[in-house]
Amino acid sequence: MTTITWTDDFDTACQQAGQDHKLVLLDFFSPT
Amino acid sequence: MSAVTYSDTQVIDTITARFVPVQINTQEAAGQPMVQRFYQVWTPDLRVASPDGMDLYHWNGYLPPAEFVPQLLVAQAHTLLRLHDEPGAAAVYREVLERFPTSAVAPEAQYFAAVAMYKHSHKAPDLLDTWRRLQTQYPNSIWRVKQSFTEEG
Repeated sequence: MTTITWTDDFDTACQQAGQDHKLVLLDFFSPT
Repeated sequence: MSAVTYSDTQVIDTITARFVPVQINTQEAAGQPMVQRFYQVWTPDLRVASPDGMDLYHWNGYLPPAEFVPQLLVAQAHTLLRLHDEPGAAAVYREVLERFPTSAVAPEAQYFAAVAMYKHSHKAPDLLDTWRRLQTQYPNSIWRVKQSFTEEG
């Protein structure tokens, strides 16, 4: 089953988004 | 969110195709610099950011897949609009209206579809005719009220 591949590195994600012509989805979550 | 929304195929496909996804655990020390950087206070807290790191759309609260996907598309469209990609924004707003016409964010998409079209064309009918659909499609929406100054009588 396909899953979402999350990262916790926002700045690298921004660089990747620029290269891929995407936007960044930022999810702040609390596991409890 | 992870048990239901992030396990849904349509949610996964939408996120994967359009976004680079970042998750920050607000309960861990490693997440605190991002919590402070974005003045984060309550979860779930979702932002859409441009590649230069500016968060240009924000919402709080759990959404099931049927509402999460259209909300995410509206967030994408708003971000494109703020980045001055008006045709791209208009296309995504229209996608919301075609695929999710009864979703909670559909009236907002109708309102801003008009804005995106007008800001690209500078033709008044693109704004007023598209807003007019709020009167027929979403008459009880706050977004209908927000354009009600254009209504006769």
